[in-house]
Formats: sequence, C-alpha cells, structure tokens
Amino acid sequence: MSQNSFLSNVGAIFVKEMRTFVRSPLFYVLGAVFLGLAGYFFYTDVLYFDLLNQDKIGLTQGLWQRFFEDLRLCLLLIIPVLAARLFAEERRLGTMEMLQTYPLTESEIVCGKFLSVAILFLPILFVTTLYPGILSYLWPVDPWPLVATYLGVSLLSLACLGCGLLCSVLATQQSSAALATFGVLFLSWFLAWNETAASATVLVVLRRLSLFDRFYDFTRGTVQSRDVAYFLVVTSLCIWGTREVLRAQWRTRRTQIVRFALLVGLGVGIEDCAVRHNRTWDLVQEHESILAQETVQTLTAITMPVKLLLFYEPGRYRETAYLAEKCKHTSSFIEVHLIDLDREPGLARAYGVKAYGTAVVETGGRWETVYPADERLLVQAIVTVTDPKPRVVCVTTGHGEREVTVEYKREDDDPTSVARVFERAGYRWQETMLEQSGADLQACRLVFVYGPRSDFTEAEVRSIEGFVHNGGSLLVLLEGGSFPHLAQLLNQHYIFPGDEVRIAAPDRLYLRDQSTVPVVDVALATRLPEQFTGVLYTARQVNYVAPKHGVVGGVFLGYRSPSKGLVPLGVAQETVGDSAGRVMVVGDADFLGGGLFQRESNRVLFSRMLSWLGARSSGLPLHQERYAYAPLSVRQSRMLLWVAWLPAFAFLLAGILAWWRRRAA
Amino acid sequence: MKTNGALTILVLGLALLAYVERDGQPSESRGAAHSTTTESFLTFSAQEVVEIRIQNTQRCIVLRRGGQSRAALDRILTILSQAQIVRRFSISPTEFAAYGLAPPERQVSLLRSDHTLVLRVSIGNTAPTGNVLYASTENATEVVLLGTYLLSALEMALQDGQSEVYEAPDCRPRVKESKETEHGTGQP
Repeated sequence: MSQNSFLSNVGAIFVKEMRTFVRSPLFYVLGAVFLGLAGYFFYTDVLYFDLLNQDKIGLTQGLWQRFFEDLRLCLLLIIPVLAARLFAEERRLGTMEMLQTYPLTESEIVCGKFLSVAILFLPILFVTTLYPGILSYLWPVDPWPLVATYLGVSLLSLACLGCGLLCSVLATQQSSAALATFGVLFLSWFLAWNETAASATVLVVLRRLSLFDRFYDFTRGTVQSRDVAYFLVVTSLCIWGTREVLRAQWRTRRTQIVRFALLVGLGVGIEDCAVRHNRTWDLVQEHESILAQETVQTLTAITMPVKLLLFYEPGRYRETAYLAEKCKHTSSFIEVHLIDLDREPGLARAYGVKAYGTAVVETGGRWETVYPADERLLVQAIVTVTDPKPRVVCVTTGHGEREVTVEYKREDDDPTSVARVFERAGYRWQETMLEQSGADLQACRLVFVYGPRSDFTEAEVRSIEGFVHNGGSLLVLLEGGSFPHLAQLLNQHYIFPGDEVRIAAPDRLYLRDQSTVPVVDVALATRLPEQFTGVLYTARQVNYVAPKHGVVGGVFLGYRSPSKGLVPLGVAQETVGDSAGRVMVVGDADFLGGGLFQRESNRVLFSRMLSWLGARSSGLPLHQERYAYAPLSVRQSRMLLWVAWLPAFAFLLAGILAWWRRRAA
Repeated sequence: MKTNGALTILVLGLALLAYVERDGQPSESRGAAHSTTTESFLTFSAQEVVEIRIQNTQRCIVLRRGGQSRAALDRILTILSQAQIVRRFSISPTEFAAYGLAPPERQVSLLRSDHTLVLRVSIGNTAPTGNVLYASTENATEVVLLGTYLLSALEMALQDGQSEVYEAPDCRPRVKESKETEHGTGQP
C-alpha cells in the first residue's frame, strides 16, 4: 500500500464523515450547547473575578484556571455524544459491513473517522478564544498562559474523542456508546480525586492515569512534556484499539490478547519514559506567575539548605503541593517534603503542628511554623530562619519587671510557660541589665520589656533605640505607671502609650470575661496589609492604621466595647525599606502570667507576637498593586454577556439553516 | 506476526530501559496511603458479650452483664458498634508505637461467658489535629482514625455504671481495693 493511496483513502472517509456531520442537526445542537455552556461559564467567571479577585491574583490563576476547569465539564458532556455516532451509527444503519467491503484498510477507516470528528470539534473549541480576545480590550491579557491552556484542552479533547471512538466501535447503539464514553471519561477524570480512597501503590498508578492531574498544569499556563506524552499516548492507544477491534474478526482470540497486551505495554513504557525525562515550559510571565517577584528574588538569594515540610490534609493537598513545587523550582536549596499530618503524629508533635495546611520551614535546627501555608508567610519564614543572627531574647531587668515563668506541665504538649514559648519559637532567653550590658544588647534578636514598674533611664532608652535602629526588635508589655523616657522612645516609632495603646484599661479582655471576648472581624482583616493578617491571624480583633511617616503598622490588638467602640491594646510598627527592626507594644502584661496564660488563645497570641517580631521582611514591598484590573462597568458587563452568548446563537442559527436547506432539498 | 514480533521487541526494550533507570529514581514519597470510609469500625454480636475489660497501663475496669454494670456494658457496646471510621491506612507492625498502639494507651476487650475473646480494640493517641484518635483491632495491619467522642462517650458510660477496678495488666483483683466501685474511677 503506497502512502498516497493511504492518504487518499483516509481523505475519502474524512470527506464522507464531514458531510454527514455537517448535514446532521445533532452537530449544530451539540456545538450550540457547548458554546452556550462555555459562554455562560466565561461570563460568570469574569464577574466573579471582577467582584472578588481584583488586584490580588492574576488572570491566569484567578480567571482562566477556573474557566478551563469549568470548560472540561462541557467537554465531558459533548464529546461522548459527538463521537458515539462514528461507528454505532454505521451499525444502526447497517452500513458497517458495506464500509468494510470497500477497498479500505481498518487503519484508513479509523484514521478518517477520527480526523473528521477532531477537525470538526477543535474549531468549535477555538471559538472560545474569542473570550480572551474581547477581554483583552478591557484588561491586560497575557496570551502565553492561554497558549499552554489551549494546548492542554486540545490534547484532552483528542484523548476524549479517541475514547469515544473506541466505545463507539464496541457498542451497537449510539446511546450506549455515548454512555460508555461518558462513564469512562468521568471515571478517569475523578480517578485520583479523593487521595484517601486508595492505597499508596494504587494511588501512584491512579495519579498517573487521572485526566485531572494531567490537565491541572496546563490550566496554570505550564506545559509538561510528560502530560503531552500522556494525552498523545491515550489518544493513540484508543485509535489503535479501535483498529484492533475492527480487525478482531480476522484474528484468533490469542493473537488479540497478545496484541492488546503489547500495545498497552508499549503505551505504558512510552508514558513512563516521558515521566522520567520530563521537561517543563512555564509560559506564565513573571508578573503573572503564582510566585510574586519578591518571592522569587528572596528564594533565589538563599544560600543554605532549607527544608520545607508541608503538613497536608488528605484530599486537599494539591494547591500546597503546587506552591511547594514552584518554590523548589526557584531555588535548588529548597527541599520539599509533603507530609500527611495524620500519618506522622510524632513529627507533627516535634514541630508543634496541629492543623492541616501548616508548613514548617527549617534550616540548621531552626524552624518556623507557618499557618496557613501561603506564599507570603512561607517566604517570610524562609527569610527568618535563614537570618544568621542568633535568636536570643534579652529580658530587661532592674525596673521591677515581671519574671519570665519557666515551669510547665510536662505531660502537656503545649507550652505552658513563657520560657517554653520562647523555646518553642526557637529562642534562647537571658536576663539583661541594660545599664551594665551596654553593647551586649547587639547580640540579642529581641528585647523584651515585661511589665516594668519604673521608668528607664535616658542611657537605657538610647541603648534600646540603637538596638532597634540596627535591626533588633522590641516587645514592650506595659502595666499601669508612668514611663516618660520609655514613652519618648516609643513616640519615635509613632506609638503613643495612652492613646493608641490603652495601658491597663479597666475592662481589658484577655479572656477574663467571656462576654467581652472579641471575634476577628473578617471584613476588617481582609482589608489589612498582608503582614498583619497572617501574623495575628484569628488572634484578636484587628484594626489597621494606614502607613504614615514611612512606617507600616497600626493597632493589631483591641476589643470592641459596646460603649467605647474599639479599645486599642496593642500596636505594632515596622519601618518600611529600612533596616530598623520591629516594635510591638501591648498595654497589658497580665496575660502572660498565672491562669490567663494557661488559656490557649493567650499562648497562641504570644507565639504569634514573637513570630512577627522575629520575622524579617525581604526588604521588598509585598504584593503592592501587582495587578490593575479596572472594575467592569455595566456596559462592559453587558458587552461580555453578548460576547459569551453570541457564538452559541450563531451556531444554532447555522444549524437551523442547514436543517432548512436539507428539508428544502 | 511480523508486527507482533516488532512490538514485542519494542516493549521489552522499553521495559529494560525502565528497569535500568528505576535505580536512579527517588522512591515515591509516602503519600496518602489510606482510605476514607463511612463504615463501622467494629462488627460483633452484642448478645454474646458478657464482659468488657477496659484497660490502661495502671488499671483495668471490668463491666459484667450479670452485675450492676449491665447498663453501662450495654451502652459501651452500643458506642463501640456505632463507632465510625474516619480514615484508615496500612502500616508496618513496627510503626504501631508511633500512634500509641504498641503498647496501647488503652485497650477494650469484649469477652464471652467462657472468657474467650470476641474482639479486642486498642486505642492509641489523639491525632495532631485533636479531633480524632488512632485505634486498631487485634492482629490488624492497619490503623483507623475514630472521632475522639468515642473516648468521652466511654468515660460517660463508665461514670454512669458500677464498674470493678483491678490491677493492670492482667486484670487481677487488687489486694486491698478489690471492692472499689466508685463512680468514675479508673477512667481508661
């Protein structure tokens, strides 16, 4: 058989199938349904993005990923019906035998039919490129991630069509072929959906087979050669399998089984080879990447091995794993371990991890616990643990300060003394007489002024000021009393005891009175700069004062009194773009002592305060105006609605015209 | 058959390549080797159970159907039969200790009238999240996660009933305290 005759025979089948499809009203109905659903998803996803995601994440992550994950459902719905008629219809009409009597090989028949349905469907799919095209007039659209995504959708469509072809040749009726295709695709789509539903060995295989897992990276604007190979192998196997089914009547059962086993083995081998020699093309531009520019800069600056332990929840690890993989790709010093929290209780206990989605960043025996494990907090933790400065807390003495409690209940896993919290946070602590220590303060990471009863001297204040100016952090817990020198120091950091920090307020909270326990005001918290929401996440009522005088910070702790409104209790400040350290002042010291500290929420609050004070920002502004998508006007929304529905209407109209012409003929 | 031969050679070649390369590959990390189900943890006939022994390292509490602890026994049997598995995963025998199951923190044994065992449940530590605990049945190769409500339900049932408290580990009667029947003593 010459190559020319093969192509011409395939062409003949192709033309015949195309004619049949184009004349069939089913094709137009399916096309209209597909485009109608796609348009609906596009419109609603754009509105959702417009309302909720402005300036937070880019289009790739915020819109296109969601849209294409919706679009896959349209594929699952349409493709089985479209492909079902390929052979089942021939069987129903009784033309199958006639087709086989033509001087055509099985390969030519199968290739012709597959090409016809693929070339009919892919243009319908590409009609959806109209959506980003129109959207680019309203918002800046980066086309490269879309190239990756459309490549993925096309490959996925081909694999689904191949599956439909195979089911069609096996079935005798269109409906059964469509149902079988839908069942197979649906199953393969959700194969590894629930990671908890299979053993480790089986799960490895399922993940390799799952369409969802293979399609995921495409929606992120990333092309992995292993995924491309997977879809091509699945498509080829289906086409080859269809050919083998057609040839089955000429072969013995033993030969069929042998060939089938060899084909599957070949497919698995190719796929395995592709996994081993995987190459990744990240088509997402830097500013659109899941990792912010400052994150990338911070990670690439790492020069020591950093271990990232991600304690995931079964079934909900994908996002975290993706973030970890991105971090790992950015820096070769980062080693990522995904840990099932339930399966590693010892490890979790060692790091004090109690919640799914917690990450631990560790280097050289020092670690930081991060919850939730989002990009910003991870980077902050990495910067903190890689900071070579020793983690020493210098607790001032000589002014009637309170003593740091050291005893704790041994049987309790949670730290039940201040010293234990220091230890858990990776700090050593030492008492320091400021007047005597002088320059020794520079060996500290944090100076802790714990409920003094008398004021500091000018020399002591100068010593602390120098320490903070050189990057040290200061934590002051104030009880009642007058501290003019200390107040002078705090005023330099725009903290005003008595004003922003209500010292020894008579109706302070700290869980003394259950009725005054505040809850986190989510609406306020979401408007906070990200530095604060993470640090004191769910700790207390949080309020924020806009940056002023080059200082970022504000009231982070307080409670809402029915009569007085927000009563501020704690202020935190950090000088932007400077090497100066962080300062935190709280108008209460009681919560670190006695029964109040036995309450978990107070311990958590103190841990988070320490964490924030010990952390170092990367020196770069975090996520400031990364994306600028102007809110859609009503007119623009209406235009998008028309754009979304127009292709579906056009397709339906074409179908009606085709039907009318056919009827007239 | 020519095609078959070529295919065979190709497949064998790929298999060989895969085998050679496998040595250089890192092994798959321990992923989520488990399953989540809504199945009951224990299946047994409550009628044949005449005695329950709840044992920890210090003491052993015995509830008998014939005695005053009958109501508590029935309640515990109900609690055990209704316990639902939150999650399960297989582990090697050496790993049981990590979950507080070797030796077990607590053990619940259900016995027949002839003192033969109906089943024995080991209850281990609470999981890090605090809302589930580890448990396993005798000779099982897998650990299951049960809601921590099981423990509190057991405690409440024990407080309500008259139980006999003996010395662990073999539930021998205490020399001096064998008649101790205080409410709530010897919680598991």
